[in-house]
Amino acid sequence: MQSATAPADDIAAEIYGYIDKRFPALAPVAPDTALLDGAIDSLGFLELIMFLGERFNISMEDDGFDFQELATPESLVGFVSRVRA
Amino acid sequence: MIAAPVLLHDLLTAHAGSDRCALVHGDRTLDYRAFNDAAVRFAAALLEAGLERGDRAAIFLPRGMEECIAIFAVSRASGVFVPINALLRGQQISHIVADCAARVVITNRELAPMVAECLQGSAEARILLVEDMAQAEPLALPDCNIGEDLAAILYTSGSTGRPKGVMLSHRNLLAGARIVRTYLGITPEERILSVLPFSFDYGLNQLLTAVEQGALTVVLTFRFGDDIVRALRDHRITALAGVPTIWAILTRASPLLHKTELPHLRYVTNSGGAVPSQTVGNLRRMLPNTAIVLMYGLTEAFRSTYLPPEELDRRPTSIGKAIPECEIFIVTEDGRRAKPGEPGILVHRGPTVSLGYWNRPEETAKVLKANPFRTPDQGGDIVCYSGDLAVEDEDGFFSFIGRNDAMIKSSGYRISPSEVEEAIMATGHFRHVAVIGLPDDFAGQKVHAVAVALERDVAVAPVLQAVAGTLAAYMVPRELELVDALPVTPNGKVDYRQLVRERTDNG
Repeated sequence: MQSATAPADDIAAEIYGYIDKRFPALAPVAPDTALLDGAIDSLGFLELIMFLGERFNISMEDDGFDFQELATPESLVGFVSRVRA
Repeated sequence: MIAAPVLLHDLLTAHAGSDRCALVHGDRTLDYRAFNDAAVRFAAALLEAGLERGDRAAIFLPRGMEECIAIFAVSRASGVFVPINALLRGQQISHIVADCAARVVITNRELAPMVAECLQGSAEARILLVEDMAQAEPLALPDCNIGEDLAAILYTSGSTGRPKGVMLSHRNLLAGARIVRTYLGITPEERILSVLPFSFDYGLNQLLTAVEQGALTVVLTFRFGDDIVRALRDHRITALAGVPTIWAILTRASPLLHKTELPHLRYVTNSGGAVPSQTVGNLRRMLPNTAIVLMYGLTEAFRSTYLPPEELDRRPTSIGKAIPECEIFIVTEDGRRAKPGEPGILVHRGPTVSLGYWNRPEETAKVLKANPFRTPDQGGDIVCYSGDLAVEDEDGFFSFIGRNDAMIKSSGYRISPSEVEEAIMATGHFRHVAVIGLPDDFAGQKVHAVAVALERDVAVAPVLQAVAGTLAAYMVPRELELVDALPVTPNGKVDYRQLVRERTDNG
């Protein structure tokens, strides 16, 4: 898969792009945009989690996954980069 | 002799002396005595504010105890409660308050400035804060209503226009509570988890069945499936009601569910759309000791059918049979009673048939009609035409086929295409726009917009962003697709069916 070697910048671009498109009310998201305080509904989080699974092969069943990783785009990118490193 | 309850608040006053826990929200708990006392204080505040018999009191509060108290308090004050979903935006809120000509809006200190702003110039309702209402001194309260009086107006969308208010009498609400409690076997020992809004008939019904029995309701606001699993575990919940989106979240994105035993969970119920068979299978595997009850209802008839859990394996896509006290039949396009296997409109008769749409006689007449098989002079009643296409099988079980109009249903919410189209057109960039529902694994349907732009280079993202500022999140199109022209029917109207077909048929 192409993403297997994606550097962190590409991961960031892809995640920011996804959030901007899926949650237009938040666009354009900043690294510290708060995602957990009502900006995204429960269906939105489900889709975000499914996106992480499909695109980066990240599962919430993985040890160390904490929903706090979804607090901001920055924390999310950091989490995905760590898991894939 | 104990009088049978007639009015909504009778359900609560029956437990006025009980110290059993009624409500839990976060760290707060409220027993039945305190619940009733608070409702009496809130009711006194409503009277002091000038609420008279039959006046509408809108409720705009975050999910929690005050919302539950306010619902019963409005009934106690002989008013009509109008719950507004906390997800709605400014214009949507002012539409509801103005449409029902609410005398008061019950909200809290934090939300009051936003409410005041959106009412400006459109509605003359007085704003009451729950913080003040809780301090009101109890008053002698009027007691003049009967079961036929209006108890609630629930706003819901159809295929066109802004949301309409479905009028429910006290008798409707009590019948709904009694009927659902009967077939689900709800007792005072039930511990119910509420995750659905009380502005939604099914979410409201859940609260009423609990209060009717003196059972416990735990009110939860959740972001992730694991929040639900923790609440189920920590509160030893016995009953959960959800919509298809919630089952998708629980089965696909709740790692805690796999590691948690939930021996107390007696049943879960679904309404607000069909659950994919695969999701039903996953739920059964993950909750081996829990009965799964598929239900169907529409606000206009409050509650309609349910599938007994023992039938689920045999009929995983059925919506079941009529709920107790009600009859369901299918009527063909030419007005006949459909034979088994023959599709038609699902028609509901019984004590939960609503009183129609507030101030909309023409729209009411399309939905509430004389019983087609018994004339009024021979005892014929008023029945509810659902607008849902369904079919009955040889054994009398019903299955949902689809809508016979353009209404969209997403995450349990009814969405009118024209309300979304209006918001998109208001951005000023388009010549035409049509909004359709496309199949979606998680939400049932997703909102999809197809538009003809005025200029060639219109950017889609800012348009969606603007629309997200005026519509609730669940109404914002997931995609805005630009085309050169919309397909039209022979009579020159936009061909919505064709738009859907082009995007769902594989080539």
